[in-house]
Amino acid sequence: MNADLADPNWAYVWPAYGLAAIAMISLVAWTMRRQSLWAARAKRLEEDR
Amino acid sequence: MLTRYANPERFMRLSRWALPVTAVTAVALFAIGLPWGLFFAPPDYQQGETVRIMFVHVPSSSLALGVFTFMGAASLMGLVWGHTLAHVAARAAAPVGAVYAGLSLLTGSLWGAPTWGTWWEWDARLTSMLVLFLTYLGYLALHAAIPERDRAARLAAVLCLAGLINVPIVKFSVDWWSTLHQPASLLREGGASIHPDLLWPLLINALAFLFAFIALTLAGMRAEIFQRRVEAASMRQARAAA
Repeated sequence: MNADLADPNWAYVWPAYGLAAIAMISLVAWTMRRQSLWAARAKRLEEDR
Repeated sequence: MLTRYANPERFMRLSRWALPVTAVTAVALFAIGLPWGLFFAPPDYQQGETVRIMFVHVPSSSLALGVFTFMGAASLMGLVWGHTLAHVAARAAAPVGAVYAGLSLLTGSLWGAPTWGTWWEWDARLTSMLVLFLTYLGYLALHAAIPERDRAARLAAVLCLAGLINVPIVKFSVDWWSTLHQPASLLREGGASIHPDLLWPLLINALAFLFAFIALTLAGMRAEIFQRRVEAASMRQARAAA
């Protein structure tokens, strides 16, 4: 490991990675939820026909 | 060839396996690239530990520009050849590009505070990136504001093509004006100026962001196509009932 975790600049590094993680996880969750929701509705319509 | 893949049925068959493949690739690349950049890459001789922000900031910034260029190409295809799938692709890519542009601004600000001594400067690169982020939001707002899908897609495509002018401005702002932001160190004449110890984790994270964009856009396109099918079927049913 090459990181010096005692360096005060980690106060900027952690929030950058935290924000990236929150943004990416939220984007994935929103996209997948939207896709599965509409896929389920389309499937239900197909079955009704 | 593009016309061949403009068929929604063919796209749904292709994306059924392409989506999990690209999603798994993105997760694997993130699993390697993020810990590498965060803990195992050496600190920079000038920036120290703050250089680790670069492994998120540079890929998100480059991809924010790349995604908008992709949207511009898709919008042009949608307007010229009338391919609905091209409009669907541009619409599905927009939230991903908006998140990447937002991340670029936030991580850039977190890097700027310890390095430049300021969170924000009305510098040509930062300002043009903010304009790109606002263009993404405008594009999404325009889609949300117009209920007729085809009209919304056409108007948003025009906005996207007009917004394309900002892409070279963002890219070359550091060369055209005297900016606080440093010039390009990756895509530049004479090759990358970054040491391989920092370059490799950067490239892996850039690939991770790229594959995440592809997977998320494919998923968004599938959602949009399912939604259009449901709405078309509901309209047919309503018409039949009347």
